[in-house]
Amino acid sequence: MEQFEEAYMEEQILLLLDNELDTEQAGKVWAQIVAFPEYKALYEEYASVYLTQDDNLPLIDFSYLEKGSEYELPPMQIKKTFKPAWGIAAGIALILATGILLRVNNHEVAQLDGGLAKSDKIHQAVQAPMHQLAADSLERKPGSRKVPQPNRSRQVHQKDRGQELKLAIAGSETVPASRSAVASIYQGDASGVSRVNSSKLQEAAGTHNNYYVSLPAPVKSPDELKLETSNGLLPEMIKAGQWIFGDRKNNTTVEIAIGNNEKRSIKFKL
Amino acid sequence: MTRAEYNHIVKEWANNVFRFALKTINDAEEAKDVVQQAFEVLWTRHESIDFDKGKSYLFTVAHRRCMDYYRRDKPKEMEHIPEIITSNEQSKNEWRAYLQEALKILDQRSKQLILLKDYEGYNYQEIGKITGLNESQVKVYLHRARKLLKNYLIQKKQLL
Repeated sequence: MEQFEEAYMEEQILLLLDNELDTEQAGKVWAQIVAFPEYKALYEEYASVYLTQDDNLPLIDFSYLEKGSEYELPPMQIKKTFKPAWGIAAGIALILATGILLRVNNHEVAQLDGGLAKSDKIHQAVQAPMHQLAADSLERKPGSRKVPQPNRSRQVHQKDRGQELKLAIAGSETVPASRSAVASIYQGDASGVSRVNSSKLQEAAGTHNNYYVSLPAPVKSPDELKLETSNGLLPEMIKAGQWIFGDRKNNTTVEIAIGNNEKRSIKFKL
Repeated sequence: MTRAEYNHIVKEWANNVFRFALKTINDAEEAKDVVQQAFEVLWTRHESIDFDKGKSYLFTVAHRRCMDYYRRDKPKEMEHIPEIITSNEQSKNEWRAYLQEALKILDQRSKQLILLKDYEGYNYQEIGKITGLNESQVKVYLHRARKLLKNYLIQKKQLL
């Protein structure tokens, strides 16, 4: 109780010193201060920590701030403070711009895929006539390492690709009407890779350098395709890659990167 | 506010704003800049500000500039300000010096509240408007600061 009273009186003394009490309340507090020496001591202690006006600071002549005076200075540039809202807005704009760029980039990459028919079940990879692809794989010696290519810009890559496709189209009169395509076929758990004959390479209407082929439906009977039970997408992809490039091995090493730091090499036995 | 009223405010309050800024940021040149900036802002808006509110507007701008300065640069140690000392005032001045030293233990906000209260005589409500705090916050922060100053000075006295 005493502690409560002391805390209350301490607050009242501070309010009194700050001139925040009305006359009646101030009178009551004064009465307590006069009646109790401990409150008087507290009042004096607090009164001593109030700053006084006469602290002898030198007076500065600020007449140059007066407008129209002979000493008036040209207006100074007011320092602008950086507001956090602008920072947040800039961050959001940056994220949006990055998102839009990535989206545009993905769209371009999708167009570069040749506009080939895609579905969940059938994945095709036809960049060049099949005989050309086969010649490439035959030329590669077993165990030979891939020669690093100089870094080329996207424009150059697009140009080459466009020229390649145009050449394929130009030479289409001399090649058979149907073309070979490599396809991964999935039927339930079973899958397989097969070469199937497609229609002629055709330019997609209204597009530039986009071509497509259509596959016969059904592609082949399951027996002809030699479908096997899938061991998962990754081994199948590896197997398909090895089949395409004629690089037949019993095992292969795959490096998987998770995030920026985690890198694991996993050896798959096929 | 007219040009004459604005000039009157310069004469009347420029040194008070300077003292407030100097005690807050402890840098005389920066404090002069704060004064100049505060008056520039006041002049650019003088047509829409009443003469009666000129002083509190000035202190509001000065308070913000001081806080900007505090966030940007750590305030220096208190510069030596020449004081006129007479022998009969010596003990009084000694106490003032202790009190000025004690102000250093306070955070910037508490220090500004003390300066606005003691030097400018603003009440809690007016201080709240200048600093953007509500009345209760002003009261709490001020009382807390007074207790800190009192305890610091009692300890100092005991040591001496």
